[in-house]
Amino acid sequence: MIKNCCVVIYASLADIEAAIGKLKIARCDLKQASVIAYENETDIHNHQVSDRNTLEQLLTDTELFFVSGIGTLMVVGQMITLMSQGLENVEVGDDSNPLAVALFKMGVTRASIKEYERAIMADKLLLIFYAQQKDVEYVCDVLHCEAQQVIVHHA
Amino acid sequence: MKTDPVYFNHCKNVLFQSPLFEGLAEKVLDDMLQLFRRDTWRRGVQLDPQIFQQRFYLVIDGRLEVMRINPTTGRSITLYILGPGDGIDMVTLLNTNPHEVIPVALDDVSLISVPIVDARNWIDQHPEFNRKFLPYLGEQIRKMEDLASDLALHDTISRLARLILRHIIPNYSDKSDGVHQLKLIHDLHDESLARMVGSVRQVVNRHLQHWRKQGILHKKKFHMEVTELESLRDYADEAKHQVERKTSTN
Repeated sequence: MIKNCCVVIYASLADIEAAIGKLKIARCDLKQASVIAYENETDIHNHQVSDRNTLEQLLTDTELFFVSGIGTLMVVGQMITLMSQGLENVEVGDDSNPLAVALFKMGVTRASIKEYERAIMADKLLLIFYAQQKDVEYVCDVLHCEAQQVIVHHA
Repeated sequence: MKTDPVYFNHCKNVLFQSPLFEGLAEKVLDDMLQLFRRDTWRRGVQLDPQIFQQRFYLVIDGRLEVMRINPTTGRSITLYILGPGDGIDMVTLLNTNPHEVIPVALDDVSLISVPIVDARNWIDQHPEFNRKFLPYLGEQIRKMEDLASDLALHDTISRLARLILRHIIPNYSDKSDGVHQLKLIHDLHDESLARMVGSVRQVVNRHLQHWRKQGILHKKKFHMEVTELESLRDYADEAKHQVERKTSTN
């Protein structure tokens, strides 16, 4: 079975909120959406609670994951299940971690996984939509514009 | 796409080296790239052919094998191997008739895509692109002609020799040992090569082994190189002589 997902890199939580708002209006199934953000050790206590509350209101569950080589990640939505499943049976590369494995399971290529890890470490936020091909295409139509690139992955 | 300047510039570099876009004004290419979005396909993925009636794709990194399959027998033939700068199913830009092509990713592939309607509109608005587009289509038709005539006129060993010769990188032989590098097909499995010449893996494997023993081909770390170009040409021409002999006797 083909795996399909699309990933959008945003600069701030406000951008993510706006994007999820658009998806809500377009009646997309938000159970298929996830958000990943980097939590700086220094401001984790200041931002974490408010960010978690905001995102929990938008989507569903929130979890914190420590990923070696990257740091603490705040993960919201469907991605939590994939990241909790561990590294079994998936060989992503030399430096596999739960984030890389979850992205790989969603159909993201190894090169793009590295790109997303770099984006997260640069304090960017990822909005991921993992669904059937037609639903992913629909989300792309809603979110993709000249100012905001959506990347579609098939595997 | 300008929001990601690194990838934007990478796309421009790749496309400017492709026969489809080389020499095109930078501004025209910039305008075109604004319409596109990024896609990736993991190695082995085979999408529903319907998508090629809706979106037009350009390959940026990696290779794709474009096939047709007989659903009853499972037999397949490879029509094209596409690489960076190539468009998938260019025919859809010309007409809307549905047709079956099955692109399969040979590597992890990075692409850019645009709704087919937008691609057609863009071509209408940029007649200067046609100066590149039409010769590119001409080249594709020529490749189909070569494939059809190879299948009809030549035996398997000549077809295989001709396939390899068509993929030699021009002006890229190592002067010290005369080794010729291949593009796109250098690391393909025998099964994939067999699909390109309308044969089966066992036959292709036998011919390749024979050429390796003769020192015509060399395989180093799954990378095929041509070491004796003239001998390979002889194998490719052999069938041509047979056809000439046949026609002269008729």
